[in-house]
Amino acid sequence: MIGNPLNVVLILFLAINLILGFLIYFKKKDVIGKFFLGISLSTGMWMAGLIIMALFNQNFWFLGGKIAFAGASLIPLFFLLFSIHFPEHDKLQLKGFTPFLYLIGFIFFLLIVFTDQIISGNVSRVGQFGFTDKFGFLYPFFGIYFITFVLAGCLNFIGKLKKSKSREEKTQIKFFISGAILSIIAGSITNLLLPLLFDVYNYSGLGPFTTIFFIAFTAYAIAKHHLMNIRVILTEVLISLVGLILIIEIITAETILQLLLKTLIFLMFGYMGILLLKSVYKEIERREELEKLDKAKSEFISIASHQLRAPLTIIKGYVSMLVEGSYGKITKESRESLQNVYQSNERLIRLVNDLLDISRIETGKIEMVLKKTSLENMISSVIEEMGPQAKKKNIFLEFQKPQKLLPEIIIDSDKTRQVILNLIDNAVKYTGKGGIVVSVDYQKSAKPTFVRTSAGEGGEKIIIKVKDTGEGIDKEDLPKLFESFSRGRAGSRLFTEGAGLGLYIARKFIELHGGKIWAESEGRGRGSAFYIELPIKSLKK
Amino acid sequence: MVVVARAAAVAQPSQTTMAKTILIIEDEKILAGMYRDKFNQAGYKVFWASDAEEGLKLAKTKSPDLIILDILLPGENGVYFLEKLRKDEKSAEIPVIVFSNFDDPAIKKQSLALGIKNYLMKTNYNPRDIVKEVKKYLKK
Repeated sequence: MIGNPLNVVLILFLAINLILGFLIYFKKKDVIGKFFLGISLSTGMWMAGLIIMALFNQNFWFLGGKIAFAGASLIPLFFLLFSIHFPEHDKLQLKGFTPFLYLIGFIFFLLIVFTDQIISGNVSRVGQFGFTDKFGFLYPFFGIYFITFVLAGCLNFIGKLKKSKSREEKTQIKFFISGAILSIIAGSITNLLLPLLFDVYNYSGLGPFTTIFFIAFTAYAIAKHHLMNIRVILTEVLISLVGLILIIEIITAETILQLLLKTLIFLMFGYMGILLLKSVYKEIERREELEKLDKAKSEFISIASHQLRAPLTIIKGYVSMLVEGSYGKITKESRESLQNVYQSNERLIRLVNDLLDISRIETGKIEMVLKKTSLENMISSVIEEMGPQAKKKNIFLEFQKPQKLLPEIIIDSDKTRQVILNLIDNAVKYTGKGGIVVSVDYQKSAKPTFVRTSAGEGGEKIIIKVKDTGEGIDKEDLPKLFESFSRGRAGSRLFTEGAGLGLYIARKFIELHGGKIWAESEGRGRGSAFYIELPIKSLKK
Repeated sequence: MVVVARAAAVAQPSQTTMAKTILIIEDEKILAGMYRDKFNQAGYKVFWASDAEEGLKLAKTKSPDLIILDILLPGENGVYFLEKLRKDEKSAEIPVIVFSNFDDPAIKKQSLALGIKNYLMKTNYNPRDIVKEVKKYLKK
């Protein structure tokens, strides 16, 4: 009986199915766990009925048939109920109809168990894998109920897939419904559609094997994509299964020696299994703790930066209004003092902004807002902004526009503007005489016209160059320039303003665009040139 | 005494033309006072609400020409205000500029989806700059 390999596989499938259902129920203990167990138990009942018919003689086929169909009648009910609650958002708005859904499902269940209006229980064998039953006149209605509930469940899941904003949730749903739908479709073909529409019963005994899709996809989703956040379930299922097989081995031991050996193996396995489970639990706990900390850190940084900015905004506002004379005329000395306060306040605002940017970069929370932008217009506006500062120092600040109009490129314009502003601001700061020239060039080939880029790269690029006649940079400082809290020796000597974060942030922003940023200089006192290379093709976020 | 002196120094809006109205929704009293002074000086009439619910009432009763909205407010936040505003027929079309120090990309996205004209960071603008921004959106 059990010796037949197909029967062994059938029993294994039943065991895995039930273990999965109970483990998820005990882990989740909510409606989702409850309905998943419902799917598991009803599928188990269906499988159990078919196993009884496969393993035992004709006297048991009536019982097996009734159990199989009774189980099958509840599968669509629990599938639909599960689709209403998992993960959330009841697309078809069926939650309010839950009692009605239960009623329909259980009516069919009771009709199958206590009457012969759907199936009579007079089972007979068809071929090697098939069974047939005499169907009552309500059987087509059972078919309609089955198909309708399953379709509604599928529509619910598809709707949730579209509505879901989380990538992980989308993947979880995709895996779950793929497995469930494949199993249901395959099972419906062998046990419902072929018999009902074509009078073919030869494959009805193979129905339980179709649950492999459901088990495999759910297990994969749990292991790879934290389905219902119970990654450890797979470990538990595997350990339970191997444990079950070892117990069967103990029971079927033929000699005392075999019994002792198999018991020893079981005990060793049990011990290792517990250790493995403990380490998996620990890993999950640690990961969940880190995720919580990460979320708390992000929220703290957003709130903290907001709270820090509030008094800075007030100072900025009132000082500027005092300087403008909004509250009456002020003396020249007062104006100069207030402008110093204003500038210091601006430094503090920049520092808060930079710290927030760095925190977002390092936690991977930077969001890119990509849109088509004219770099020429952007650079022109930055030059207009920095113009007065350059004029104050009697240095020139020029924009050498390209001869041909540049194509608009897809970039995060706020971040790119911040980078360009940073470079030009630095150039103005570190240039005492002479001036700054900003140019922008479009390149189609890998060979640049006037700068070096990374070797071997082709495609369209835009290169922005900010060249100054200023302090220059020592060759040893060049590689460290774009690291955080770095200013280079000239910067440290001349300026103590700024925390050395600007170029680090600039590098990160440009790298997020898939681009490059670097500096070149002949040495101290010989000026420097900063380059930004931005690819023109679609940019990865 | 300082308050009286300040009030005297701020120019009063012109009475000869119908002044445009601006509703400021800002819980920080000092900031609200500062913007109110500046907008008054620029010739606008200003109403002030310190939370979203009060803001919704004033939006419905005063029908301002523009709303300057903070995001982090006591009770419900600025996004709640925008959702409610857009549902009310009378006030749904009032242009809104978010003016906040809360630099959260998700909130910015939500606000833009609710039809705001712009999302400005307070620390990037002094009061004179804000008046320039406001003039862009107020219909003449």
